Amino acid sequence: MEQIRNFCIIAHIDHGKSTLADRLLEYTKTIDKRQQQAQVLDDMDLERERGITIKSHAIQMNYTLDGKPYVLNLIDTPGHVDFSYEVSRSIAACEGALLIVDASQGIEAQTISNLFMALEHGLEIIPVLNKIDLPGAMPEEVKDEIVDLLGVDRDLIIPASGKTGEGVFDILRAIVERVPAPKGNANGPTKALIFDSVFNPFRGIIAYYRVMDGKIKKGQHVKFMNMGTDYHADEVGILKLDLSPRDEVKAGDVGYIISGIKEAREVKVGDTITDFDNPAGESIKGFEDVKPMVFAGIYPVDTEDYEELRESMLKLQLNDASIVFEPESSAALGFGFRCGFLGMLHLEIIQERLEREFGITVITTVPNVSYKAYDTKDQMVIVNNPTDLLPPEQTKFVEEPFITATIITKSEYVGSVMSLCMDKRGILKNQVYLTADRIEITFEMPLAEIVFDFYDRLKTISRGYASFDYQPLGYKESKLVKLDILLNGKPVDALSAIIHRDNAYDLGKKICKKLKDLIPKQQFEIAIQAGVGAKIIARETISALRKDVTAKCYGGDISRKRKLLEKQKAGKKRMRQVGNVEIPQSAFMAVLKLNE
Amino acid sequence: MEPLLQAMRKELETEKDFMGTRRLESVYFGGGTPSLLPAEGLDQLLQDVNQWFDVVPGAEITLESNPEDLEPEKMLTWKRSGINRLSIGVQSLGEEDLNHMHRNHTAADSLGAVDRALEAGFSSVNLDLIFGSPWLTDALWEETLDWAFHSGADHISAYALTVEPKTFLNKKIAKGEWPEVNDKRQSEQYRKLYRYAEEHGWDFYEISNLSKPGHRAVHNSNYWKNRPYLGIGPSAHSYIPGLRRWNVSDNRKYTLAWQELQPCFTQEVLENRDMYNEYLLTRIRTTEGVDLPELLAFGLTDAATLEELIGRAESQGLVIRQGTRCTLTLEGRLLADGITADWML
Ligand SMILES: Nc1nc2c(ncn2[C@@H]2O[C@H](COP(=O)(O)OP(=O)(O)O)[C@@H](O)[C@H]2O)c(=O)[nH]1
Ligand SMILES: [Mg+2]
Repeated sequence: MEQIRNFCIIAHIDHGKSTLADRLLEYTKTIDKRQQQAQVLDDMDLERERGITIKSHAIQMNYTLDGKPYVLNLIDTPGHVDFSYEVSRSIAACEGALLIVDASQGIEAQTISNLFMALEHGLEIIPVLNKIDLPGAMPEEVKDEIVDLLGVDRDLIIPASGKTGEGVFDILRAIVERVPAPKGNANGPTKALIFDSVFNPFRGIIAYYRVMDGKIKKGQHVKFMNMGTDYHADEVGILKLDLSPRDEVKAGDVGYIISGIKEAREVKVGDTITDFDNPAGESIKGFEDVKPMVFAGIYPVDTEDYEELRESMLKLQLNDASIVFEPESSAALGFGFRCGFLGMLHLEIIQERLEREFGITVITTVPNVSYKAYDTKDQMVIVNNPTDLLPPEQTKFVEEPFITATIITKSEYVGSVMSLCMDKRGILKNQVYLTADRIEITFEMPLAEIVFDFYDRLKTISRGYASFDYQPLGYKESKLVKLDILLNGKPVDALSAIIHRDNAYDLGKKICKKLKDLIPKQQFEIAIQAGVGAKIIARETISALRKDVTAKCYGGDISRKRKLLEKQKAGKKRMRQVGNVEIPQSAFMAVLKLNE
Repeated sequence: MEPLLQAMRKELETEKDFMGTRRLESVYFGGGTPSLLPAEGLDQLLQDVNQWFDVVPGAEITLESNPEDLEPEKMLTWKRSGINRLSIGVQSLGEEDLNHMHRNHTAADSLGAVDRALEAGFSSVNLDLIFGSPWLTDALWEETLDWAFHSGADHISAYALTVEPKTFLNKKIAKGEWPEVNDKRQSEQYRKLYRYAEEHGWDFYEISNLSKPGHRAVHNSNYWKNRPYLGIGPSAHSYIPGLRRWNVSDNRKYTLAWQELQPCFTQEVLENRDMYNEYLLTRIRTTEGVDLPELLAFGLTDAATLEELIGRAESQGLVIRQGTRCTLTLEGRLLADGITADWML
């Protein structure tokens, strides 16, 4: 155990985590130049393209310092607030963390919350000032920020560059010298923390863990304590660039287990692996059954594809246990699923994976959070779909989830950030200057308000100089109503939304306007109305189509026209019918595009 | 003009067997401004046509022209070369309209042109008209029609002004500098035209084409009858059932290619389904309409499906049925594209 060092990296997106990780692998000769492709640890296409780490990864390096061999386990962490529970489990598996800060940017909100998480778990923090090769680097200012935040000795901050390789050996030395070796009872009952699991189509689920006490042996009869399931360890080993089978993985080390598990949902991140016959007294603290935060309906574009969609969702669930879904049906959209996601990014990822990996295009309805509605008899109902909200006269009150939002921005943007947050029903809780021109603002606000149209607006008003993070705060009562949209008098269930009463009028008007742009003219007039309960609060009219005919149709026009009409036909086929009105797919996401 | 003309002559000779027959019922000089072609060039091309093809007696030989080009001497040489039909790009009689469309001629040019064409002995004259522009008042459209129906022309092609993407017109409208094209006005003006045709006993045989009885344009009609055609020159389209191709649009590329006797075109092979869709989209625009047995003969659809589609349009007053044929009503004509898309496969 003396030779093992377990560490993770905390960094804001784009501050150079993946690049620096690549350098560490290279300098420890874990990979040679030949094997190198940029961002070795990000192995999903989606991760490489978006430049974010979605899944955790782990890799073991061997490094000799002053004649002594060491084993360094790097546990990479997901870089998005949607996945903060997974981050917490990765942190719990380590004794140290590299805090990477871009010397030209400074510390961002997300970094701070992960940093605090690491400090809570007693991790040794090694601050790294990255990208010092950049002409725009402001090493002294950013060092000030780090010193202020951590109260560390200025000299302990390591200047580095993932690009030039400067400082990489200093980082390796610091990991060995400053990160404590793992402690644990090597002879006690097996106790290992699962910090991630991946799905392999040939081998099933591969769970990654950190052994706290005892060891995990090949062939051992193990038990997953929180799930209450047991398995035989078909294969155990350590994580090199590929899986490296071993007879056992000992206390302090990081490894994997393959035990014939078929579905991701059988393995929960944060669970404890122990010996079946000689179990540990208690499981490792901090386990949570992660709950979805955002819900949306997912429907096949072609109604006949429902079965295919169902199968694809099941397959996705094999390797992403955090997605939950159940069948639902909508008068407008037909058969589909109400799905729960960890956040908006997670939703986008699932949507993209359905398209890429399964070739299915879906209609996603406007996302909503999970509400608690109390009826007149004080019965509580969980509302994950706006259509489930009872009419106002049967509802006593409704609660919605709130969050604590932390935003770090430059002082010149404070005004606009504040007014955005107020606009989003935020209540200012705190503001502190991190440096002379960087400020951290804390708000309490409803989660629903950040679900749509928050990140983009934040980015725009701050020209990108604002970072954002949030923590759930629990449920609070709010004046919420269900806004219905009607086309020629018929409500379109898939367009209903739960919103704050004070926004109903304004939002209803905007949605009607947007729908007017998105719904094509038809042979009759179409009335678009927004209503709350029985009351109509906004209306737009689409006039009847008067003329839809091409002027010329001669030799040179026929082919082009055929293709045009074929396209039109395909578009029509994908439309949904409500009453006599045909609605294009794009309309179902109208609420998300009000500012476009 | 000379090298381009030589290229076209080469193409004509090389492709003379493309259609599978050398019998020609019509020749059409159009697209761009062929009336700017020197009279000798035109004469040369027609001689070539006669050399390589079997032009039937009384074949329709049309030249597209602008009103300002119709000088008496020029017209005489055209006639002598064999042109027997003139299509005149009148577009509008409104000065404001013509200015916005960047036309070089005036209304007076157009009024005189028809008379001169008739004097020169062209018995068959087509007038190209554009309606539905923001500057064409209903009164002016009526005046235009009064003139057109009594001008001596035996054929009118009337097109609704179309705002194509990326055009000057489109940009002006997008910037808000010019008023938008109003589809209500366009449909009203089309209705007026339809009434005029009825009142004058004209044959409104295709959505944009009408003639005195017995004076339909042979050439254009053939586009809607699945007949083969051979297009010569840059951008020209050629067709035989199952295959379409179109030449490069760039004059220079076209000319260089033919200097090497190297055709330069894009082609598409038409599947049965494409042919079905093209049958629909061309035929439905004509007074002959689509013929159900002919549609079924493609073997792609069944009678019940067709009955349902047609029945729906019929109940909406968009089509009527005459025997096995199905044609558009006036309301149907105004919505022809949507109906076609609905019926297509
Ligand atoms: N100049 C410079 N650019 C760097 C350095 N490290 C990373 N980058 C660049 O910064 C961007 C983000 O790096 P990446 O490692 O993907 O960041 P991550 O999102 O934290 O994983 C990429 O374009 C890298 O090429 C560095 O030390 N110097
Ligand atoms: Mg990365």
